[in-house]
Amino acid sequence: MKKVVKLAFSYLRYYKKQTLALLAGMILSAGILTGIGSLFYSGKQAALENARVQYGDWQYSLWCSEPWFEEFLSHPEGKGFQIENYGVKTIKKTLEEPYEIQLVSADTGYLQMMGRELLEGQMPNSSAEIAMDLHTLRNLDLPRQLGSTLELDEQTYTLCGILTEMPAKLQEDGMEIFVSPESDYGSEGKFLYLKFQENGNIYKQAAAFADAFAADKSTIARNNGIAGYLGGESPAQILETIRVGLWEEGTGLPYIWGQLNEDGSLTHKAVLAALGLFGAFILYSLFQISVMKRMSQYSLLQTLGLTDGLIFQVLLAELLLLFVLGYPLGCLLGNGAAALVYGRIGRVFVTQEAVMHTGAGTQEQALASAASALPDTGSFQVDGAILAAGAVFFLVFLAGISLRLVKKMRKKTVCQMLAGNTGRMPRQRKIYSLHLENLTGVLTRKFMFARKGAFAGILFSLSVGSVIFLGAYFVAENTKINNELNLKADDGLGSDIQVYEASDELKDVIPREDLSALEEIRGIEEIHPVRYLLGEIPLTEGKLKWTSYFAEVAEDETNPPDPELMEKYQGRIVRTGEEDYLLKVNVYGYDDGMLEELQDYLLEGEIDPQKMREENTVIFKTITDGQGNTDGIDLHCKDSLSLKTPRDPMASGELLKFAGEESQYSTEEFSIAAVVSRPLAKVETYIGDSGSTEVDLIMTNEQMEENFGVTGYQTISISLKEGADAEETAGQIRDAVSHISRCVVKDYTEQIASQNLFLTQKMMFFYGIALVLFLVSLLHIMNSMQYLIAARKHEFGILRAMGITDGGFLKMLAKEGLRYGIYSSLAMTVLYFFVQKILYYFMVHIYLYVHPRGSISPAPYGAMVALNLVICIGAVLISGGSILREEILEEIRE
Amino acid sequence: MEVLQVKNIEKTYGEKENQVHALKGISFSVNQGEFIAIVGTSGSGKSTLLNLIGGLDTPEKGEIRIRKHNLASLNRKELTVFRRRNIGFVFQNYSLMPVLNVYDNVVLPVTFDKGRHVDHAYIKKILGELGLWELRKRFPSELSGGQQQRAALARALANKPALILADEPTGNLDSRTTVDVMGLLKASSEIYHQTILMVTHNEALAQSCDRILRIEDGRLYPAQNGQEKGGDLA
Repeated sequence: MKKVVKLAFSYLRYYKKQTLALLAGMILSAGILTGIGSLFYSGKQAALENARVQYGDWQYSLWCSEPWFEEFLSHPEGKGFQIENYGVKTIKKTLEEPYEIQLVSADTGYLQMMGRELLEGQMPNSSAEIAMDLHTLRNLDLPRQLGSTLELDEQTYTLCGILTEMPAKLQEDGMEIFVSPESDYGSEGKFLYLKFQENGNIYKQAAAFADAFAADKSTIARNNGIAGYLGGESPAQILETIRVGLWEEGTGLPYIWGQLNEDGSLTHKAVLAALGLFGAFILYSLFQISVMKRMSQYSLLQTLGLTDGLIFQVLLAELLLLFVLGYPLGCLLGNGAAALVYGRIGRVFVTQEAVMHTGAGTQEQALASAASALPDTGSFQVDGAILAAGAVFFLVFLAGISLRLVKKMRKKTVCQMLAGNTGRMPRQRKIYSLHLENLTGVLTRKFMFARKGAFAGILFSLSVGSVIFLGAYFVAENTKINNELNLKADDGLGSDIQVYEASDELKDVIPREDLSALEEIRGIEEIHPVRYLLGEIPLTEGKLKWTSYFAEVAEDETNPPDPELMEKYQGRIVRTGEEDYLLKVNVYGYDDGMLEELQDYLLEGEIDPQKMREENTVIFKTITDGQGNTDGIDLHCKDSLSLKTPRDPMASGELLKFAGEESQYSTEEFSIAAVVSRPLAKVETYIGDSGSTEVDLIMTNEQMEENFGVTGYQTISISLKEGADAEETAGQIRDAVSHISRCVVKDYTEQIASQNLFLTQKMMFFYGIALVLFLVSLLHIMNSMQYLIAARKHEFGILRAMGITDGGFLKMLAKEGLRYGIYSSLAMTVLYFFVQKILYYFMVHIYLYVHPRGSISPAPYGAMVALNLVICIGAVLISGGSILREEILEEIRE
Repeated sequence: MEVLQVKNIEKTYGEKENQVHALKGISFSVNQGEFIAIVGTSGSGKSTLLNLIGGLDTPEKGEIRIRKHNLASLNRKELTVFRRRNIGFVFQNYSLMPVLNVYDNVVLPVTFDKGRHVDHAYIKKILGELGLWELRKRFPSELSGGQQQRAALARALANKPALILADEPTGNLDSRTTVDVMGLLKASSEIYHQTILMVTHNEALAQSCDRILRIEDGRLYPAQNGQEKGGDLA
């Protein structure tokens, strides 16, 4: 063994260039894989910490008024699970009015898990005392003063303590008011909240817990906000997801991916796998070249009696020696660079949805959301798992490389023998010199195609780097477009300031007269007012193709309709026949500027405001499913639809259910001028408008007035002049609309700035990684070319002896480089065509990108072709230069 | 007419204590049409001498003139072009381009000269005389050793050079093929009035040449077997 290592070390020392290339390949591969792995891990950890704050630091909860609960309290441990913390919340009473409020008592474990800390006072000790957070205090209109009294459900309480707020995501379930444990309202329900040790799969621990205490598994609720980060998905659920994806119509890969990739971990794993394979390919290629260069020496060793096994050991020892040095160094460099990157643009890696537009609230809340919309990054953490997995992967791979090369050596010898005996290689027997004056072109072409397998391999490796770069550019370009369009459409961030009515009463509007007051404010560049009305359209004879899309008519118990929507509007849709429905729609009036911007979301038809006014046509905003499809409603350009609206544009209450007397409504026929996928400014009160799941009809503001008599505005989007003081301008706007009831002014400038910075960082990261991968490819290309040239040293020696000049020789090589450049560009184009198709599919159907471009812009493609040509010619000429420095005789003797 | 003049050539390899004097004060001249054998033991310096004459290597001292051109006065490019037009090489390992057929291999050196058209009639004649015309479309790997060496000889003749330098041309061949190739070299010398310098360690083959130059330890000695073979020493 010692001799094997010694021989391997001698080879490494002797072939310094190859050793350095391999070492560089190893360092870069390990660095990229582990560095990016750690970035993802740090992001995931930060997202988990953020999720703990938003959802509470618990994983499962279960109803615990069962006999096992006492047993658990006396021995909270068992086989297969380890409990880190637990807490008990007892719901004493639930109130429906004035809000949904739970009167609860809780132990310290629960308070800890929910991050509830006492800010002032103490927890209730008597049945007349209560404690609550500031949010609840504000909503109940109670002063922030201990000792204040509150009447609830005909009982008077005294405020004895003020706590921090409950996790943001749990606030949707109602408010919590803490009462004394002794309080007794006749009935109560106890809930146990569990936090298992996170070093093991928590789903398995929860199952073991249920088995240990014979608890009913169906009563166990999962904290969906954090369980996904900790392996809280049951294997059966994963299998069920895959089964549904494979067999159920309308699901497929997007469904499977979407279900299993909720926290982005599947994407991360796919990226890491791709990086690992890329690194492996580079290492294999580099080492193969290194071995090919000294194939004759191994043959000699074999002749001297070295077995295949020993040669395998020598090869493996070489790689392991490099691995021992290169892998730790790569990890160190990769993670060092990653730590720097994370410190600067860590938010890029935190998989957390930043919900920007709350639709209601105050200026203070808007500013607070500007700060909180982007996640906390925490500190950089090295991912030990990827370090270990990477090491194992590379070790196995290196052994695989060695084995394959030994096999290849054996095969090559046999092949050579066969070729020598039969000469079966098919060749064109044309005499080129009869037609050509110069044979160097023929020579380079013949050299290239002499071994078609090797030629294809080289072309593949030459084009891989470019394809990765183009793919990254394609994704980055579309991500940028998607982010910009999403900001505009979903978050209202297309405008710096929004003025809107926080009301679901049609009478609450911003009067037309106030618009001119706003126009006079200095610092405002553009104002886009939006008119609104609620309407209803019939979808008959199967025009609604996705009949299970709306919860109101889907008849799916697991997806009940929104009770508030049902109560206020009888839901968004009503079924009237076998294939007939009545669908509520948001009817918007936009100005010409906004209609122009709507072009970005155009699916069919054309948007021409002047024509719309003249012909009284509308734009139909259709629905989108979870896979980005938009063919749920069979309504197209030039189709007509009848829109039913309240006769009174300020109608309210029952009339908005569209169930009143027909005389109270009017119906008008409209022709569809265009179909779009998203609206711009939205009104989220009434039936809501998520941007993709509701139907909107969009027309000009003038049409809104002429058709329905709507003159006031629901929202006004304002963009500021370059360099305008946003705070001052927002203040002036606020003053101008302060007399309008329920009118809210929101300044999004901070949010837009932070979002733009975030997006820039994201793009920079994309390009940075693409560039690093390209540099790795470049190392590989240089090495491949050098080998390619060196392998023909003998032939080149003959040519030189025959009298080819240095200039002629370099010209010949340049031609070969050019050919490689052209062929690799062609290979790149073909490979990229498929890669682009796959990426496009993922962007449209899985990541639901808004209007991604189907192909890359010509500039980067052209740049890559040019770069390919330059690199190939350059690499060949550099390698050719070394040939010219050698003695002709030495080369002939090769 | 003198085709080649070699005057006081000295060549050393290595430095200081490792220095080896490969050639010491070698001088001789060769006339047009002569077929000369350079013989000597292994390491005696015969191949070194051939490489210096071929312009593949440069001497420390002395002068080599081919058709009155001093090789030392030519720059790298001029030397390459001169070699292409005036010297034909025949190597022991044939050194044919594996990717070209026989015809294109033979024509290759001519095509390096821009504007100089291939004399296909002449190429046909050579190939015919060397028994390769029928094999002209074959690739080197499809030929026997003797056939490959004949192709190499045809290539050397293609440019009608002043001098053909053959380094152990029969070293890789069996005795029958050796006789065959030697016959062709001799015939070429006679038919085309071609000057040939052949390095060999085969004394018997050397005897069939017009003149023998013997090199031992880097020095040139007259042939031992007769004044008529080595008597032309300058």
